[in-house]
Amino acid sequence: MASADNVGILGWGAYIPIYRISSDEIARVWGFDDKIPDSIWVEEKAVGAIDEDTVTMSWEASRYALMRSGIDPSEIGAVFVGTESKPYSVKPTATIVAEALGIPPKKLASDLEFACRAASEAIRISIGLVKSQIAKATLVIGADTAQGAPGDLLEFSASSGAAAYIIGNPNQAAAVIVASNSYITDTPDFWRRDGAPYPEHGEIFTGEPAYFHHIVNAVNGLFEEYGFTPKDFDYAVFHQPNGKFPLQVGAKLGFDREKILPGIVTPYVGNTYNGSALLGLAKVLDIAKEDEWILVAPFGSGAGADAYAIRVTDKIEEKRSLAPTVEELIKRKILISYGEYTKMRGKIRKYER
Amino acid sequence: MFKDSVPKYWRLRDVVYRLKYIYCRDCGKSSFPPRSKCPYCGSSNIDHRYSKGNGVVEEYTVMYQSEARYQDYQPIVFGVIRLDEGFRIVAPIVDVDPNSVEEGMRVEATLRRVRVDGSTGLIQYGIKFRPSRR
Repeated sequence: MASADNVGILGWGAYIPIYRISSDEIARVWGFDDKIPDSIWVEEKAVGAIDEDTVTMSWEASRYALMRSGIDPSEIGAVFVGTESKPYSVKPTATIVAEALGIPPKKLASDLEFACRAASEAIRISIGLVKSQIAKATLVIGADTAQGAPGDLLEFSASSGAAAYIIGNPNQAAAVIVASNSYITDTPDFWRRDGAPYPEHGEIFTGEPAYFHHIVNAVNGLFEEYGFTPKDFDYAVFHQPNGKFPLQVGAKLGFDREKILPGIVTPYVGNTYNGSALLGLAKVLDIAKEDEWILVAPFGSGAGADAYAIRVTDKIEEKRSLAPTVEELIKRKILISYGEYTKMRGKIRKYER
Repeated sequence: MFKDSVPKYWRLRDVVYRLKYIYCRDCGKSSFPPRSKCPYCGSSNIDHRYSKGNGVVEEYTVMYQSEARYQDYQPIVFGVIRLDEGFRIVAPIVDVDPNSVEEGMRVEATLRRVRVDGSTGLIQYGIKFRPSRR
């Protein structure tokens, strides 16, 4: 089995805002069939507070990732934020986050956009930077305050959250990225025009030609190139636009539900977009044991998917307890009404006085 | 409508993002915000340090009426927080029911939006506090 990447995950961190709105509440307000939440398996979604955005959530997840990494912020040579909810159209999120974390100026820093997959692209870029020794370590963040138009089906799932990873030397790592693969095409399944507050989506077009086609090809490409089969993996984590899609794509690829369920987060916190698959990976790293293997396949509309084969090392145990687990963050919650949600997410149009 | 000072925000970023403070090597006291001399003994023999952001609520109040640009944050809990490094700071406490805040409560730092300068100006970030998670 070829070892193409051999780059380490030194630390991982998750952040889920404390506020939740239930799918039942959204269905009640907009008069949806009350079977919809079950049909997509989204029970609640996380709602960023009024003073939270991609910068603040990135900072939170990164702090936890740094705690687990055991490295000093000065060793970070690149900071990437994958997001489709930048607080500024022009001004990087990454510079604010890096400054607030105390990462010195000698670094690369940028925001990447590829719908829900930008942070995964940042991981692949980081593999190159670390292997080529351009950067000793990098900080990759996937964070979004996902937008869903009021009354749109997307409103059931579009949520807020972040995940962060320190990528670096495999000898210090909790897990090693052994191999990776990408599959990218021009597929218009979901988009948001410049200046538009909410995205448009191609209804059922988002499923088969977009999500399923790209993930299946990214994963099968990884399997063909490196000789993996589903039996080689103890866990499988996929992008989670809802709770059902990852189970369906896993079944197509030959994975049992038992390997997929440990990494499922969306039914409890919604689709955090760039955080989605990476929060799922964080949830698995919170429980995985030495020498277990994890398949991770993020997806982004537009469209593209990646597949990673990750092997857990003996250092995972000592790092795990250094920051809150995803399960702890899921359980820490305050339920809010639709009215509070609209205020927190800026959906109420106010006029400046 | 509002035009906050961009240079002032930029100059203070280490203070508002990372709680930079001074520690006096002569009298052993810490103080915030950082300055060139120790406010307790006047010594210039000081270190600049960064707080870990953990502390305890010494006193608090709840604000139900504020100027227009803070109204979206209401009710706002303001706490006098003593950081573990020894200095005190007045700051908002978030992610909490105002009725459950109490003196002696452990809190931790969280980076949040502090001010948003109209619809075209800067978004200013800074440290607020929330109940400790661990």
